[in-house]
Amino acid sequence: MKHLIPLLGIALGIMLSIAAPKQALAQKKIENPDITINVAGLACPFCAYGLEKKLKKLDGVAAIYVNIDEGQADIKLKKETTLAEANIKKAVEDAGFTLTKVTYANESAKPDK
Amino acid sequence: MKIFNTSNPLGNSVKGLFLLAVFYVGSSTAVRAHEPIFGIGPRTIWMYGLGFEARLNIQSYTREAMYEMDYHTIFGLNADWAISLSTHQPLNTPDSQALQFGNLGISTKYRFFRNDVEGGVYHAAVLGGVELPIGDDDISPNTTDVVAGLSGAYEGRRWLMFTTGRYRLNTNLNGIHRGDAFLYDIALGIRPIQTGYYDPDVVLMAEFNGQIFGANKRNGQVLPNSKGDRLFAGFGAWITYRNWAFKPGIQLPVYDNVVRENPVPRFTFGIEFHI
Repeated sequence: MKHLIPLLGIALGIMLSIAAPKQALAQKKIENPDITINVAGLACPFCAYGLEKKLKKLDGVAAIYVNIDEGQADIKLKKETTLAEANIKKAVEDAGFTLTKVTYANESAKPDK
Repeated sequence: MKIFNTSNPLGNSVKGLFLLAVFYVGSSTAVRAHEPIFGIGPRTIWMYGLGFEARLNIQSYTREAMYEMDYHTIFGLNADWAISLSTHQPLNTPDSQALQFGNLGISTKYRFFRNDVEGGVYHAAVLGGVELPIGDDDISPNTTDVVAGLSGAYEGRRWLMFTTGRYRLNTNLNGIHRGDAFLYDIALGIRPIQTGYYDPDVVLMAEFNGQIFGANKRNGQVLPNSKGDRLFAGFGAWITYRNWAFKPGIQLPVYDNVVRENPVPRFTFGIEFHI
């Protein structure tokens, strides 16, 4: 029983330290996304965290907004960068979901323009 | 501190080890990732994803409660294949001054079927695991045991359903061949409020968790009162916020014909973190 208090203390400390910055990072919807993708299999926010991680790791990605109810993710690219559909597909599959549609808002976001 | 009410033909030490093994068996092959509170499901983690879970379990065989921590680590080899390491740590061991850990569970889960649909997924996985006898002998059987199973689920935005069966192949302990065990879980979940991705998410879970034990044998002779089956009803919740999950639950005995000890309610609280 003597181990219980420090364990719970550590857990509480971690929770508080992580929760505070995460709260501040609560995402706002991206205005004028460069790419919108439709993803099948999105059911729970906890499981969709991997999708955010994988998409954010793609070169050129500036911001991500996941809309789980719509089964979509909006992608904002850094200036003068492009993102191939194949790379998006790989990221979605590595996250454990299925890419069903990719919509480019403008041709400049496509690498093979 | 007396942890177990001991009076059985197997002897006190064997019984203590057995109870701890039973206590641990439900989680030792788990590859945690948003699954039923007391059971297991087919969910894996994303490719190269890493998850940690610490879980406090409380149950009482006598007037004094038994406290135990379970620790799990999960790693995604790819989006459908994960491996996990697990161990457990009684907090009030017979030697309360010692920091003791149980056997090491190494398990894997391969999701061989996945049908992603809009707002949900149908999936199934094969489960496998082995428990290596490297834990403290006081709290874990000095045996190498193997578990294999199948799990299937539907997870949607509103409803979730899980069903899993696992077979535990036990080996000999102190000249006793411990009977194998079959474990099964049925779980139903509901998300009463469908919040957004950036909001906290709550899923309420109701589960049935069954255990069927084969007879123990010594020199080929069946030991009396060593087999039986039991059923628990579990209630709990997933409370998640992005990559954090908090999982409280209570498991109540519903049916039992195992003579060697009486099942008691079990409380659990898990914290899971994915990076």
